[in-house]
Amino acid sequence: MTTQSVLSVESLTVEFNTSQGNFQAVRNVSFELKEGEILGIVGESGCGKSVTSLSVMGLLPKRISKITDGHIYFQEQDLVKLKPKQLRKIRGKDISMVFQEPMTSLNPVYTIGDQIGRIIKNHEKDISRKEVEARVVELLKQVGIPRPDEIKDEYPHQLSGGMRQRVMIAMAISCNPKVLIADEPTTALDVTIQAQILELLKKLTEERKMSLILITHDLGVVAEMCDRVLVMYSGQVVEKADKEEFFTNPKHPYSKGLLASIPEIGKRDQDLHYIKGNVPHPSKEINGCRYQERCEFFFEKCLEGPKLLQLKNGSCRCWLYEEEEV
Amino acid sequence: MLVEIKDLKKHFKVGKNQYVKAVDGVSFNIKEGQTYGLVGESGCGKSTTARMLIRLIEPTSGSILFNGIDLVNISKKELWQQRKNIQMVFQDPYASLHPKMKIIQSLMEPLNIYNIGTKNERERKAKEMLEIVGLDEKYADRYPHEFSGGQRQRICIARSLMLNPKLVILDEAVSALDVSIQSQILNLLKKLQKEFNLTYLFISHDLSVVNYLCDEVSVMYLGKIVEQGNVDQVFEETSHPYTKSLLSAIPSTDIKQKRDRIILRGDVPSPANPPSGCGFRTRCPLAEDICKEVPPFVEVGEGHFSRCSLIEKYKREMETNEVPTNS
Repeated sequence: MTTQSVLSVESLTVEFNTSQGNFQAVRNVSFELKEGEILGIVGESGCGKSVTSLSVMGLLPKRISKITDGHIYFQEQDLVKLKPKQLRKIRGKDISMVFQEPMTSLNPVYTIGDQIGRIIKNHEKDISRKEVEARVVELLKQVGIPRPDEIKDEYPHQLSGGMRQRVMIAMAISCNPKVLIADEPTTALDVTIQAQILELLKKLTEERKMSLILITHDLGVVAEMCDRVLVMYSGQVVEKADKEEFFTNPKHPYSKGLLASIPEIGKRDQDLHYIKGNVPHPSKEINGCRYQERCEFFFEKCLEGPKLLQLKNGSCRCWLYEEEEV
Repeated sequence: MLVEIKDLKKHFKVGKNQYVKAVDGVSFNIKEGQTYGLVGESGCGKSTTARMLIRLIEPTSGSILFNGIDLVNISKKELWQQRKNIQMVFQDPYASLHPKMKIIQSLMEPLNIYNIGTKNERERKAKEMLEIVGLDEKYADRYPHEFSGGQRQRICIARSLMLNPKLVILDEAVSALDVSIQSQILNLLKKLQKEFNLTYLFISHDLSVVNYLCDEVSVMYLGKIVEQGNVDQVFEETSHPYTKSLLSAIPSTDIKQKRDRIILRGDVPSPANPPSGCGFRTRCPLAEDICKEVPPFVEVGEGHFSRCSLIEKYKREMETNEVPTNS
């Protein structure tokens, strides 16, 4: 199956320059996103998953960070090289994003309809007010908001968390994007509401042939939603695999550890597996594998950085494996 | 029983003659040495219940017996003495440690307040406690910002144990942590429980964690307990439709297991204006007319209760239609 890739990130490196010194938050990250695919980027806090997505959006905080290396190809353009003005035409239209915290991502002093309408007007200049309004109502209906005619005139504080996230999604899909990035879209929500939002995202990707990058720390969410998985640790990609392969046969010791750390219902008598130590700060200089301190399989070779090895089913950054021919 | 809570209520006044029934008649008992889980979604009243237990929030009515002492009707001075025995660990370890106090000062604070031991003894105890929760003694003179989330939660746990409490209330204590750190803290909690014979009240929205850690569980919805029982009963012989949908909503990493998901429609109704009868009926996939009446708390197994009119109806039907069988 060779579907075209809509987005391809090549050896992306992002450097931060903060009061804590210079460090690379994202180190040489590459991945491709295919048409209609849901790609999960998993990792714990500080692993660089959000920085990666912000780079794609061109939303990195300018004063303290910059892309020092790599390319992000979208429709034969390198987003890294685009001028802010050119990027603005793509952002919100062809590539858009849903953030974790729906309350802080909506402007409290404008109505829902106003905020969604503004995006449409921004990207389609000669559209009449009536058309915008009709589009807004249609969008709200699509994301499952009841009474869209009334809700569009309400303010964010009048809605519940789940509803606000639906509004965020309506905003994100308002210009029919090809790529939607959802950064922890359900982390702030209750489980029953999370299930609703995930169902909605899945439905929308199928209906609109959109590609979705789902960033999450919750492996359960990945298992339910994604086609492929990218595991990040301390700024690097440590494993890439199809969902089935990843959950039945995880390769990297970190992936294995993560999967084993999740308490599953029905397995309560055994001691819970845990990964020792803490996630290293991305600024920490480590010779070789960045996971070595916490790894149970550590051996001498780990002091030299393993590269991302190409395996039959995916790839993995670990010396326990050898490159296989594909 | 270490804790006996009976018909506990908290009604917040929000307007003229308008009340939010945040907690509306909650009863449960906690045995010594056990972990009791309170589960539910945001706004269900689980944290309010816990806060009433140490009277950070004054209950509207009901009784709380701790070790046989009525916590609701004791004097301030006695309450102050009793609070030594009940400690709390909160969700956000970043907000629960004073940023300008060294770790050792934070740890010694409970001892200072209760005037226990000399300065040297307090210091020694604080350092000991650090070791017990898995942090090196050398961290004692550092400030909270130098620690990661998991380490800070270890410090908060250490502080909660400084006065040798009997009961520790863990309010979403592992919810803000990364998966690999969460499992470390869960294991630590289990270890400490054995070591110090602690009783936990564990409040969480995460059912898989509750399943792992707790012995007995109450599931709350809109200020009421909808299902209560031991862990096996609640998680394996699940009875209430709300618990069933909660369980089915958890994303599972087991991709081979095909499950029928029950996706609830709509949001939790506002506790200021709850539905009549069963609070869950507006979202319940099984709701019938009978649910408009106040549902009974039915015993569905030994010590296993479920607040559902339908279950009572089926139970009654089963009893009346009982056909004599060969066996």
